[in-house]
Amino acid sequence: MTREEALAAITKALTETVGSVDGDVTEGTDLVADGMLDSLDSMTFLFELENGLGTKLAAIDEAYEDFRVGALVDIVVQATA
Amino acid sequence: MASHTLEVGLRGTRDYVQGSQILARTAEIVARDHPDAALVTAKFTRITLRGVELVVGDGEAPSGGDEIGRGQVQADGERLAVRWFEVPGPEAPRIEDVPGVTSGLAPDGSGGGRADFAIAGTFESYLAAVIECVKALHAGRGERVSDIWFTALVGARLPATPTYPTAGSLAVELKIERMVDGRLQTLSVVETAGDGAPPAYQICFSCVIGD
Repeated sequence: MTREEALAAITKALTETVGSVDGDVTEGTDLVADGMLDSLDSMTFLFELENGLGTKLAAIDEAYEDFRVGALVDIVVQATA
Repeated sequence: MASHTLEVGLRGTRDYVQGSQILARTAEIVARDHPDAALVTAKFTRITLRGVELVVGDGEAPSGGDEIGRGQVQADGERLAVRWFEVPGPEAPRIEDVPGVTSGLAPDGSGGGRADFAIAGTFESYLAAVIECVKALHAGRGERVSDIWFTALVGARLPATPTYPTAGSLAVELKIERMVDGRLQTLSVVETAGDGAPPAYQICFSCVIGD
């Protein structure tokens, strides 16, 4: 999966989680710090992301807390390589 | 849309109003105008031992009451927002406890598991069975687990009317778990087997894992 495709998958999972997204989601967006997700939403987001990709993201364990989109794109690209 | 004071209580020895009571009373009120109503999402941000006010749609928040959660109901083909507020004042009245409704709990060793249930077939009795089952699976992680709270339902289609199986089984699969501010948050998928069972949905819990 390319970085663009990964970004699209992340945006789709975000939309599934919160309904509609105000503004653009870029690799510079931090989904938690920018207020798009709270801690409960972040679990739903990860579930939707893994569901959409059809694969478990091994890099995201119970201690994972980096919700910068750029970091998530790295993980998705690596997991789908 | 109007606001409604929900008839909720502190059941048995609990020092909090159960989320299942709040959701059940909400479903009953919404179903009066929308018999096809189904709960889609619910998210509780805190618990309360006081009364609860329901605000449906764009209704104004009650003065002085803190929001304790919000959700969405599907009714007449549209999504209806619902919000719950704590009512400042005395504690909710104490009400009788009810016996457990699940049996044969079988953890899968990965945070999920299965259980059978026998219920009245109402929205509230079904929800109570699900919460009882998932709570027991969390408690089964060990003695160090405490403060187990039901926090959210996501992606559900739970009819407000009593269309649920009176007997069946639940399969719970743990999908996501995260440590946030010292609490373990979990997201599991619940599948229900039985006549008239609702489609699968996600349920979230949080708990404390001691040292």
